[in-house]
Amino acid sequence: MAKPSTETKTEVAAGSVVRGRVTGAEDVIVAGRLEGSLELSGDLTVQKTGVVKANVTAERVIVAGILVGDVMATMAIEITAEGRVKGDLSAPKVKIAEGGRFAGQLQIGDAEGVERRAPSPPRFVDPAPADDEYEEVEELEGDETQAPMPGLVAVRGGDERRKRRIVVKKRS
Amino acid sequence: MAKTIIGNTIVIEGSIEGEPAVTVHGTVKGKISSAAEVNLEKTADVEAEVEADILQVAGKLRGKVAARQKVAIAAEGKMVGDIRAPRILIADGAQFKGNIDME
Repeated sequence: MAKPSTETKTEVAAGSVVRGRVTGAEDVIVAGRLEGSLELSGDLTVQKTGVVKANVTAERVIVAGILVGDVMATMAIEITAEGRVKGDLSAPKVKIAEGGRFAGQLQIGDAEGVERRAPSPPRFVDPAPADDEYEEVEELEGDETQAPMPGLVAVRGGDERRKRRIVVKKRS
Repeated sequence: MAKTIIGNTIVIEGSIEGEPAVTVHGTVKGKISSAAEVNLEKTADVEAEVEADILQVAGKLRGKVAARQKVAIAAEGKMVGDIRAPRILIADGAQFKGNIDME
């Protein structure tokens, strides 16, 4: 009886050419050539000497060689500094190293809500002490000429927080 | 020299060609050609035309085979097809059906 192989790696060596439809449930390393289509539940690594001309579906795709074709990764795509990719990429995470070359469409995540997202609601500061003796004003740091705005103020994040500060002043 | 390895979950419908040796644990339908050794391991299921220096069969092989040096079918091997090679070795227990040409 044939037992499952303990050999879990698949490697197309430099000098080997695989053509056709390739499917599987393990990691594939290509140092030679692969042409056709590749459907994996595992990772594809295209080494520096590797050339893949195929539409690829895999978990992770790492390209240090050449890849021409559309790539759909369920986890991530990485193009290293030596990598060259031409085709449309889609993955939840995409990393292109400095020096890596890429031409094609890129989709990272489903980008849901990016276009329609409303600005985050302002966070209101409790106007304490609620005493008529005091008023709350907003001051802009480094720009004292601007008139302080009395009343309830929204505090926003980012740069604005550095510029504005809320002070409670006693009414004169 | 690095060799090409096809893991046991891999299915290739097409061809594997080139200089390096090829070891198959998985399924190949089509053609395998190497300037070195081709090893079809126990889990291999190959339906292909095979051309190599040396071919070793420990899995299942259906197809026409040509080896420049030797074809060896191991005890676990099952082969249906024609063999052309100067030396042929069929182990005790191996299954074989086909023609042999040793010229």
